[in-house]
Amino acid sequence: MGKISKDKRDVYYRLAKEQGWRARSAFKLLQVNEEFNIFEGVTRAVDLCAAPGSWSQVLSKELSKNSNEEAQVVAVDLQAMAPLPGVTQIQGDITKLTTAKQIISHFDGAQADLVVSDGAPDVTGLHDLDEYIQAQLILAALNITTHVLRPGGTFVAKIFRGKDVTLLYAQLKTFFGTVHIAKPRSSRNSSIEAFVVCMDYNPPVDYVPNMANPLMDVPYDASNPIVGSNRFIVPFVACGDLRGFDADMTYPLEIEDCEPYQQREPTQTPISPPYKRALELKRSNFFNNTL
Amino acid sequence: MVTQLVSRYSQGAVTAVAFVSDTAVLSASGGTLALHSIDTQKPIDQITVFQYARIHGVSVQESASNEEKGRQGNCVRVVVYGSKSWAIVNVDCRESGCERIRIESVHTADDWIKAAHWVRDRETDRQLVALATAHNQVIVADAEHGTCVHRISCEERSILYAAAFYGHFTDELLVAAGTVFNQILLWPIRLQDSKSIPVQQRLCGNEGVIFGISFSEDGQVLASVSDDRSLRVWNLHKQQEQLVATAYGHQARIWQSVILDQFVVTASEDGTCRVWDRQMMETVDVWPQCTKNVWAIAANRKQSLVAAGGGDGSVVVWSLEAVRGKRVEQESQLDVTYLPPQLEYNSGEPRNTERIRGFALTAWDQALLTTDSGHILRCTWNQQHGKSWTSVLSDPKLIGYSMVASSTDGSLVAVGLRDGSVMLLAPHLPPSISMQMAQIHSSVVRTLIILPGAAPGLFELITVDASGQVLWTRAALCDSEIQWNAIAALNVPQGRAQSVAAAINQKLGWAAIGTTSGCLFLFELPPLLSELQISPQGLDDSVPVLMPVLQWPRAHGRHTLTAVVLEKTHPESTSKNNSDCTIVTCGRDGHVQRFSLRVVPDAEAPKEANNVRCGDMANDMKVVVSRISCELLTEGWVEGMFEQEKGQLHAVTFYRKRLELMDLSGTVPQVVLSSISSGASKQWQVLFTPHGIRIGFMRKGHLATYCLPQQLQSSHICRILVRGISSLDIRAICALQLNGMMLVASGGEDCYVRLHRYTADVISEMCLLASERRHSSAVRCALFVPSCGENDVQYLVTAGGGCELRCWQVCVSSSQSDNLSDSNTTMIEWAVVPKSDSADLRIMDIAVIRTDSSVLVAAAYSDASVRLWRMDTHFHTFDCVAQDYSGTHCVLSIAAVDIGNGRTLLVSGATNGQVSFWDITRFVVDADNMACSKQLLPVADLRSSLLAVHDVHQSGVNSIDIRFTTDNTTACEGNPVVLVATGGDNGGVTIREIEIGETQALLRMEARRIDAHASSVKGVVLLGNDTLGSVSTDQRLAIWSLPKANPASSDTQLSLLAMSFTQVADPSALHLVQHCKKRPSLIVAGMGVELFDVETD
Repeated sequence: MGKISKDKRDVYYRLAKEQGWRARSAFKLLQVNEEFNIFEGVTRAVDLCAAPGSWSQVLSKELSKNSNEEAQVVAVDLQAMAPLPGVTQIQGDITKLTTAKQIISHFDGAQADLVVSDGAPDVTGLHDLDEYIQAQLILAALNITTHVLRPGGTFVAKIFRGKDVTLLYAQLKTFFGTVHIAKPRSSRNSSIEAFVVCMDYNPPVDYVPNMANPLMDVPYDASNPIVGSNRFIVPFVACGDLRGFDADMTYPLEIEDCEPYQQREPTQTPISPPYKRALELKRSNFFNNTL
Repeated sequence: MVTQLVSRYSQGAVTAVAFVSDTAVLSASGGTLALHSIDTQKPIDQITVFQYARIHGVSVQESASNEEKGRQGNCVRVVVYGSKSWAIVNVDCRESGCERIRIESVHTADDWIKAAHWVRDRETDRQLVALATAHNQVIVADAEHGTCVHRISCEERSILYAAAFYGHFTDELLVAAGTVFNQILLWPIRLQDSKSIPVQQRLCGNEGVIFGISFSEDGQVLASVSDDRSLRVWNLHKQQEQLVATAYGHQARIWQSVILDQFVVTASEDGTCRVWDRQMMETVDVWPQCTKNVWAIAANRKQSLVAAGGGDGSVVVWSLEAVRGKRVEQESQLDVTYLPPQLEYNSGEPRNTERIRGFALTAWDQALLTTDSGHILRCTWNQQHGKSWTSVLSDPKLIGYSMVASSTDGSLVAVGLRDGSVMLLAPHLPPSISMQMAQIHSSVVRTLIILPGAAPGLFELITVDASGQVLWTRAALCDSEIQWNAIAALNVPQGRAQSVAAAINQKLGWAAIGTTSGCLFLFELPPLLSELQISPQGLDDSVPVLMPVLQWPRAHGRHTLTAVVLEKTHPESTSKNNSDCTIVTCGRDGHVQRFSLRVVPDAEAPKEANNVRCGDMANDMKVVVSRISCELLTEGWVEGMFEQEKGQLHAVTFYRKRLELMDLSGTVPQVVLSSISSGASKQWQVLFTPHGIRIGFMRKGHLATYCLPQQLQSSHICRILVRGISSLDIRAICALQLNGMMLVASGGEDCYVRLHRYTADVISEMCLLASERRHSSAVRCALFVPSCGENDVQYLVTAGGGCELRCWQVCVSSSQSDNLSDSNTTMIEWAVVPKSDSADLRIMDIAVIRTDSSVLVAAAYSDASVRLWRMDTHFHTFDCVAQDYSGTHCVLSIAAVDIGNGRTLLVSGATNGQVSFWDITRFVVDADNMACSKQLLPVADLRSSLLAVHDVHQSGVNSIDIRFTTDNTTACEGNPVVLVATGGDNGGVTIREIEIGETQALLRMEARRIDAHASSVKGVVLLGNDTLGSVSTDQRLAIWSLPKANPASSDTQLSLLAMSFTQVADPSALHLVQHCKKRPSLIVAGMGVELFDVETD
């Protein structure tokens, strides 16, 4: 898809470039906040799987509006990320206890009010496998969250609403008072992604945070059967202003109430993909000279 | 009353394959395991092993000492795994009998299983199964009871994408774990200290996550394939420089590999398998299987066959024996023929410019060559590359110019000369070579084409001279002579460049000519054409001249149309039009195109369009030629095409100094033979003989040939055990009962529209009847036009990205044939709304309204508009009659219903959760009037017909269905009442009872279920006045009903009647099939297709 074409088809991609967000996903977090007020009273926030950093951008911008106290944002990712003002970066693995300790030390020993994660694996196209890997990513995020989040705090993460999503709902529900599934209007209708908004962190009484063993997804059982009317389904909330832009709609390049159309380069170009070498070979005509 | 959803058919990506013997292959799709016979290419048995999980792998138990422990009699035990489930399955390998797959036991692990392996305990010889799980742990379980015997963890915890085992006994077992951090960790299973076993060896180098790992048979070598699109081979016995080779070649990610003694075979996202030579680590063959994803591969024990499972559901068995031989890479592999010294054959003046002018391969070991000095020589290849030469004849007329053509079987050779003479030779006739010569043209012969005739030994010749005259003559090979007669001259208008391609089929009554400017000419052949004597001086009488009935300039752009073939459309059909056929053309634009040809009365003929040409015929009839497909075969030239056997089409391509012979009869073109050549040689030939294929081409004055022995030929290279449906998501599906069979039409992301025939049986089948790729973007909608009666001719409407809207005529022959592979069905593009200027504008959904004399198509657009299109009685055009642009949100769904008294109601749902009600009666009436007056009205504003807008869902209304309830007992003031069902992105479903007034739509009752599904609802259908079917991305199909009691309550919950898991991932369409007398069926389509019967007791 050409750049102009993508601008036409994806209004939020365009808006992100116009407003200087590193990715269109910034709008998703903003719209989740519109509905759930997740930034209210937050002074310490953690962004897991932060690259390219659009959620960290949102956090640092929105939290600064909050209070007189200086808001702190810690961004964690395996990869290095271009620096952002007001955001402390940790390049580390979210499955390591050291990472959790580093986060806490940045908050001077205090725990976070909000943990967000917009991480997703590269999808393979085998939906069950992709959903499983995404669930493991969330559970890893949840595991480190149990080390850094204060009781009563909020956890927001991207999920794939696939065939076993009720298992994930059930697992999250054991740690939080309320769990909602949120679909921001900037996330496409056709997309499998949605966001869990878990509020009121309240781990089971006997729960001891433990990074050595991964949190596993729970099995299906009588309270959460595979089929039937009493499956574990959490309430769905559509987020964002209905009068706002529609992610599925095809817009003309000139939109009313917007500045005149001007094609822009993305704010942050993608990091090096794994198939970089293959791409280089392609450019040097390697594939045409082989079979 | 109990309602049940029973799965009757399912096809999706094949994610595991395994050989249980050299003649039987297991394949897994979803949770179902199927056994196929390679010999018969038929399914033997199938069984559902997992209800809710997809099978990701199958591991066959190795027999310790051949036919002993693993195989009990003819049985093979396999462990089947996927997600957290695993099972022991028994497969009976005998050739006959039913119920050949038997499940021994099914178990559940507490984590995802990435690999399974049969092992034994060395001391007790107990049979165990080792399972590697996604968090880098190994579970060793008892094969009989599934109980966990040992649980071993690696010290390094990481999520694994892939794992593999090596070793026969638990104490020697080695695990290779491919992590999300691009590494391969090798660690041994130690039953003591099993809590955190250190990593023994770490293989680093892959630049992406590891998708597949395989060990060589001796365990010394490991292959890894990755997100980085490379294949890496590692030597495990070295501590340094373990990486032996890195190989690139696949165009996308690689999912799996197998290491064999000579080869490594990889399966990739690009839809192909690649065979790599283990020594050179170079690609030696590429097996194209489907458009996207070959997920699984396995080799048989002898390493002669590889089975591959495709993302489209296909299972193909490829031969590794054919890999060697079908590719010519080195000069030394070619047989090069130079002329013998002139002294040996030329008794006259030696010629300075002596060289081979032309050649014809006449038999497996023979060729005829013409020389510049005017000789024709016969070359016979002996054993060990020796050659013997015989002089056949010499004629001064041949000096300096001769062009040679040969029939595909080599039994007739024609030589065209400078003075317009043509010489015919029959090299197979006794005693030596028979010959005839006549001056049939007045100028130099430029083109010679020999086509097979109506019977063996009969040939049709097309000759073209420098003046452009095209002559059709016929040669018959009798006992010892050639009978040669002229039939007709074909008048190809001048200025259309040289005629270079021809096809003649007197049975069908057509001839076709192609030219260097890409023009296609069609000639109608009169039924009685007399044969006129040819004497050596030429033609005694003037031949009849045929005029083209149709011409199609630039059929292949500006490029040469290099070959044309006429195929009978209905092999054994008795339909009224025996002349209907398919024209296949190829050209130097690299494309192969298909055209349908049919003769229709004047009144029924469509307008000429981009893909349609019409020609006048006698008796108020018209010949209509429509382009039905255009496929790019090569980046270079397609230089020739011929039908080897009935329906087996071959093409020859030239690209980058290579000649390739392709078999076009399968779903994907297969390379039969690929050879280096010297650019696009003008003179080349492919000869099929019982011994094999010989190709020959001229270069630099010599003849180069290559032989491919019979056993390595195409038919032995691959066997298709299951044909695929679609590699990409299917977005739309609909079905139709016709002549006692069920037709299923589908469209999807791969831009194809496909027509299948569904046959319900113990193993139900979906057989492809026709497929066309005419949409330039994803097909999102497909609906049959409701027909007025059982008719052989039906119409299908499809729509999708780029706003393209198409109507197809579907013809199904009424001949009752049991042959599943019959092709008595055609699907022809009948009308089209072409791609809009805004390529990003999509049609999201359509509804079809049939009235007395016309058809209306209501379409929902991604720019928030709703438009009404009208089709005339012959379905030839789409005219926009009304549109509405006042919406603010993308319209996702649309449906229409007749609500009595001639009124028609339209409902549409948008991304903002709103449902709009439109009374489109006026447009339906206008459309009918227009059919009488044939006058076009200006496009009306649909806005005026909007009755009401209801807020139904929080977010997008993905699917909508509507039904007119005949129950009028409670109807108010005689207003019609309809049921509207919606499915939302929020996972909820609703049924609303709406009273339709003159100017409003009043909500009378609503029943809903906001937590119907855990994910987005993608399809809803009303099964009756009180039941609703829904399918969602959570892969559940559910049936809901309105509660009987208290229907008027404002807040009513729908109650669940039945729910079933569907194997179809990412379902995007749900279609209801109403059988005549039987219970209804529901078809779910997405990444695959599944059909459920709705059964009530």
